[in-house]
Amino acid sequence: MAVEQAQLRREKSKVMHTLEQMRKNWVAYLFISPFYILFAVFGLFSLLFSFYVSFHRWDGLTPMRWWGVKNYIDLFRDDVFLISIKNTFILLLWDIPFKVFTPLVLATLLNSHLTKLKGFFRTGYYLPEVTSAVVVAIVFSFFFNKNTGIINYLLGKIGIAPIGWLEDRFWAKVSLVLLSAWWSQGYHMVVYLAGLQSIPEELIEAAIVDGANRFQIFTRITLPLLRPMIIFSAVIATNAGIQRFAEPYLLTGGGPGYATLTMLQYLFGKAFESFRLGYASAMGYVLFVMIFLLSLVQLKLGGGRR
Amino acid sequence: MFQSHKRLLLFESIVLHAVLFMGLVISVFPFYWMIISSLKGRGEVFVLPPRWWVTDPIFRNYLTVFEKTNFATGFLNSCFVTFVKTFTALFFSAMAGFAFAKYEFPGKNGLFLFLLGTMMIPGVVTLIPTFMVIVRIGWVDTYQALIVPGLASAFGTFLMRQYMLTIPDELLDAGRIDGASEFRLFFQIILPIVLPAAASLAIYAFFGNWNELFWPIIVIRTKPKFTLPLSLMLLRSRFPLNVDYSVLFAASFMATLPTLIVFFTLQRYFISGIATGAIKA
Repeated sequence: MAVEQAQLRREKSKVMHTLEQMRKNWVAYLFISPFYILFAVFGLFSLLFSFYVSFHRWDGLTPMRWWGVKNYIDLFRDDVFLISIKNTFILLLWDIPFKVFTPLVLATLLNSHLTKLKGFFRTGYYLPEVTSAVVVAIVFSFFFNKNTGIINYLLGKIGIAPIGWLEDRFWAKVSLVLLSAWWSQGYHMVVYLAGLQSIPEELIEAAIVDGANRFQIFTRITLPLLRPMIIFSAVIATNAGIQRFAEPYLLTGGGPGYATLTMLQYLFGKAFESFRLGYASAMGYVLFVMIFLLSLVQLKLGGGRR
Repeated sequence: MFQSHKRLLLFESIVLHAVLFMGLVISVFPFYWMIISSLKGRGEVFVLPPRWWVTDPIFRNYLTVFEKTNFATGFLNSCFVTFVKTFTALFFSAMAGFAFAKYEFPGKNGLFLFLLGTMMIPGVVTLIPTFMVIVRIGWVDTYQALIVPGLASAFGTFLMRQYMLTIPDELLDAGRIDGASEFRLFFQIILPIVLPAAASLAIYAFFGNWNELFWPIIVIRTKPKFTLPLSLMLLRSRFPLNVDYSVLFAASFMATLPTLIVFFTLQRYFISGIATGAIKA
């Protein structure tokens, strides 16, 4: 009996202590409250509500109708949705050389002892990143123009017939990949450069003393140490790639046909042009799961030692 | 032997710089093209072979942008929205970061983990319901709709906390002994120390806010509320008759100019910020 009471008293004093701590630190709660209030309204509520909506048929005006999992089933029977998934992943795959490989090469070159004007080059490479999608689309739609574009003009000089950069199903995809390569290469390069600069000089010197050649140094020392950067860069590129919207929306309009329609573009159309909010919400959740799984896979692949 | 090694180095250095220079040309050429196109005469942007240089620059194109398009409205709206959004978000991040770094309060760890977890949620999922919230509270086509939903930044809070952790506690204790309130500590001790370090965060947010396209397309309806990307998009899709396309380039260049200025003046903070962000993550 006495033991129980003591227990109770201890519990009580613990609660009192916590309350006391909370009262004393009220400023801290005040300081963090904007984030949590905003997140509750625009994040948490949104997340739950959109899950709820995804089981309904709704145009945003008339009352919702219970629709069960039909939105989800319809999604996987929707040819256009499947095409948009396919397009998104094809573009993502074609992105890899320009977001993982070429930036790594550029960063390695830039990091060389022989390189002069490092800051100058770095600034130049990074420049495209700060440009808005609309401006990029305006300039590149002139470049890619089949008849008056500068790219076909230059290709013509070396005897290549005009290419329908925005009109052909295959080349329209290539155009988007090239545009996004130009746009985001600098960012990835800066990430790799930071990684390269964090490799201790002594490590390389020790390897040289041991008689390693440059190729060995690169594959045995540099690459393994750059692994976190490569994963970071891949995660960023994947997230950007899955949520690709502005470039196809502005440059090709998803065409020709559905050749460059991406998932987010399709979701946008369904939600804000055809007002099928339930269907679009279901699509949002499918995207969410895909992004989540992909990040997991990337972390698994890359995080072996962590 | 020594001579040949030297020659090899020279050769390598030339190849290296040639490759780097080619890459640079590709990166910078579109900007160059945008600027010279903005100064070209009637129909000149379509001429083949392309004019690589303007002999007779037409600066009038820049005036035409203001006369014939709603560029000015878009520009002012973008300035306002970007400014308010960037600084309020930064302020909120600093506040929360301060609390997480310098106070011990019940639930702190749980709340912080939760905050980190929210970074995993992609914008796609919350897009539609956030729009529904905006509709329900009657904010469609308002500045609030552009600003408020983006004010809570988990990433910003996280970075701010990291900066604040490096500030010694003694500094705060000294202030407390002098009788300063917690708010004064925040405004007069913490903010001045942390703001330079937070410059990279602010600049990064500035670019994102200035160039934001997706969300304004959804919540903005009428021309007086158009931000710059929307104005440009409208200009591009419904290009006025009797106006030359060089005007479109002039507008594009002016839209890019603020980001270029910020980038060139503050890039020191900015690029190092990305680098530390990458290393920490």
